[in-house]
Amino acid sequence: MANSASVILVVEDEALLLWSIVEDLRDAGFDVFDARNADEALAKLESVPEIAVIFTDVNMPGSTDGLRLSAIVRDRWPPVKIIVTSGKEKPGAGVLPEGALFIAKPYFRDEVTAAIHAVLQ
Amino acid sequence: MPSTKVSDQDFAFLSGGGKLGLLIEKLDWSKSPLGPIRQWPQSLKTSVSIVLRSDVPMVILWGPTGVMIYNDAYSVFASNRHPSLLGSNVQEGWPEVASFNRHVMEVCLGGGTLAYRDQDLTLYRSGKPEQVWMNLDYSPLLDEAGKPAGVIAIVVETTERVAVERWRSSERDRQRQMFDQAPGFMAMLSGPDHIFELTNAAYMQLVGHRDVLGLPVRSALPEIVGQGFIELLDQVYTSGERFVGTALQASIQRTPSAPEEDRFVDLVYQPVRNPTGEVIGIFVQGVDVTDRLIAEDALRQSEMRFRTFAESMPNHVWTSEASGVLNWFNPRVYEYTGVQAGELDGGRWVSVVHPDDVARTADAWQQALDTGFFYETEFRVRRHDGNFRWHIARAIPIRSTEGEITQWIGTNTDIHDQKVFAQKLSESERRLQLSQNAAGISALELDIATGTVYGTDGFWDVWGLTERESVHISVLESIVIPEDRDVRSTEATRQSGTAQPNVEYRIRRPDTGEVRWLSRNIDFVYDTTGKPVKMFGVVQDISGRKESESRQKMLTHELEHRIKNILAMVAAIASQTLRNTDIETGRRVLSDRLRALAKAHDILNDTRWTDASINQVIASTAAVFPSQQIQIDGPPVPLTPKMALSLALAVNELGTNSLKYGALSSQDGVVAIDWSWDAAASDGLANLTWRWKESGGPPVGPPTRRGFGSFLVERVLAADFGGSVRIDYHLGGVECILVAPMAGPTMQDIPE
Repeated sequence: MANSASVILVVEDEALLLWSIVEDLRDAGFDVFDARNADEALAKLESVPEIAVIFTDVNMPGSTDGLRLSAIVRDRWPPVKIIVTSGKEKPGAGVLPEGALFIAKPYFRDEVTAAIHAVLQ
Repeated sequence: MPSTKVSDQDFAFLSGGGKLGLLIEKLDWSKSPLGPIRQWPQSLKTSVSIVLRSDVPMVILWGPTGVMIYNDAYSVFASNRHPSLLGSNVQEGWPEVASFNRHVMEVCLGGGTLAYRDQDLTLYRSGKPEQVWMNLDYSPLLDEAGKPAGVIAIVVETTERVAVERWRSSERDRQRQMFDQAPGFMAMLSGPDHIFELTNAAYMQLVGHRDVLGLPVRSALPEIVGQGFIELLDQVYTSGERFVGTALQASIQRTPSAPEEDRFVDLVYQPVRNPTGEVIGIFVQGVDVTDRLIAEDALRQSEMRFRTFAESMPNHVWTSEASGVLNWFNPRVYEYTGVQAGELDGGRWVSVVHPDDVARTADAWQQALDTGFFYETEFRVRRHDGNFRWHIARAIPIRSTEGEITQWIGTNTDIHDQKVFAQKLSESERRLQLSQNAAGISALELDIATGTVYGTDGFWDVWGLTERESVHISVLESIVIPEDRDVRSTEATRQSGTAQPNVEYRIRRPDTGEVRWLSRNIDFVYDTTGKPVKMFGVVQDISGRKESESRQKMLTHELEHRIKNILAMVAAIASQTLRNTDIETGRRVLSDRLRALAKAHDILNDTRWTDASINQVIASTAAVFPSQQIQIDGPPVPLTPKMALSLALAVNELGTNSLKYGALSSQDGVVAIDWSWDAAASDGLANLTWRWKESGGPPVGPPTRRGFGSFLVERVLAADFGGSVRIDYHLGGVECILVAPMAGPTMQDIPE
């Protein structure tokens, strides 16, 4: 784990999409962790304090979806930046935590890397 | 008279003298003015013996005080005074008539006699006053010296006879009174000149109370000379045969100095004969029938007016006897039926009534006759052309002044067109109702002032209410759910006519508690001042439509989501496929992968994205490879869309790899794809073991680099099936095994 690289956590239940974006972000020079659901994501956040950005899908199986996960992250790890993605409509005002960004699916690598750079500034 | 036995010679005169004979013998006379019986003079004894033996009530009053000695018959007359009366002085014995007896004593002791017939006396024989009538005869009795020494009285009570006579006399008075007061007029004429002997009050009234008694008819009633009555009287008098005349017209002066008046009389001239059979007079008896004739005439005229009226009426008019037998019809009936006049009388009327209506009509008629009330019924009557037309029959009873029904008058009115129209209207209403029912539409009418809502049949069912005539609007308002309160009409918006005309709101049905969507469209009806008075409208349960709309909306959202997911997958596949490769290879591989994805989509589209059959997914994906070298075998397994897609991609990767390096690259190579359920199941899950096994191809080894293809098979397939995937690169061929716990297999799918 290079000190210079920003640490990103990607949360996505769709294996194909998860692997694809993880590969893309690594190619773009980020240090990437992946999680298949909110529980896995919270465990990673606890064990890897260096995580600076969480990029999460909204629709996920299980009791906690991406929106609730975002709220938990904002509450417990205020410095962690949040980027949310969904194939559905953009959540209304007040639903996303303050400062969070939204990217609509399908997204492309450049969009995601640009968003990460934006939140990290 | 009972026999008596007298012991002494001195008492021999009392022998055979009845009860009084014995009483006289036993009485102590020594203290009376007469002294003991032994000292009585012979003249007294003789008189007593005569009196005692008589059946006529007799009494002897002896001496100046009139000592009383009487017989058995007198004792009956004396009643309760007997026996104390025996031996008493007459003026003390009968104190109530003392003065009368004093006079008797004076006259008879002076030698005179007295006789009274039906003498009226008041006696107190039984303690209370009693009016009696008597015949009384008093004569002097002479002593031995020939001088009056006493009085003998014969007393016969005539009360009974007098009473009868009195009654008879009052009876005559009554008869006379009856004669006088008889409603008919009566007169007795005597002699050949017909002189008035007797007239009654009615007769006097007839002739204007003129003083006719003692006068011959000719001069008593000069105005009737020449009218034929005197000639009739003459004829009866001479022939001795009575005359009876009815409705004879007579011109009579009924009030003095008034003009003559025409009267009509029914009369009888009855000859009166003397005991030898000679006609001596004529008894005239009759009735003034003028008023009756006038009344009859009026009735006749009224009847005639009724007939004229009834005959000119456009309706059928008929009359019936009180018994219900029809006896007259106006000409309209005959014109309508084409039947000859008179041929419908009695029971023949039935012949023109529709056979289906006869029994019902007869029942209604009989009921009207029984109750004496109004008659009304509808039936079909045959017209002359054979067509039956509906008529309404009505009849009322006509009653005499005594209240008895004398006849019925009825009418029949043609109501055929109205009836047919009403039937058509009702059929049309029914059709409208049926079409509304079929469309699930029901109609309502609201009276705004009262808030009363009337609905068609289906209306109540829509609202979950029981069938009824009407309901107050507040009931319906309370059924609309509170959240939609602002959508429905309110008292204010109805009054002002500003209620939304077309709205949709939800109700909670009171019967099932179910929430349903209603659509309601209304129109207002206004009065002349422009104020809304009624609200007409239709209501429809649109829950079904609402549900399908919302399902449609959901499906659209779902579809959008799915498309975006697919695009995300395509984007990911493209991104990974094109990484680190030349453009030509990348294009071919991407095209193959997208084709596999598209085929799986075809299958999912067929099942509307519910589930897909494992056989179909494998067969269609494998179809691009040499099919004769591929064996597919396994039980049916339903796959979720996600499983179907990843399995399709995995089979595509395995096939592509095999075609390049494995079994499918050689003509002798075989790929066996099979799957089965393991019995090792828990929590309702069973293990699906799916296998791709290549054989007969060139020897293979593990790949030098694990690319995207391996990732799709090992990671994506395993993840989407929630299981594990292992790929073995045996020398004889590649083997890929997926083991996944799955729900759904039925018992027969699981081997023993």
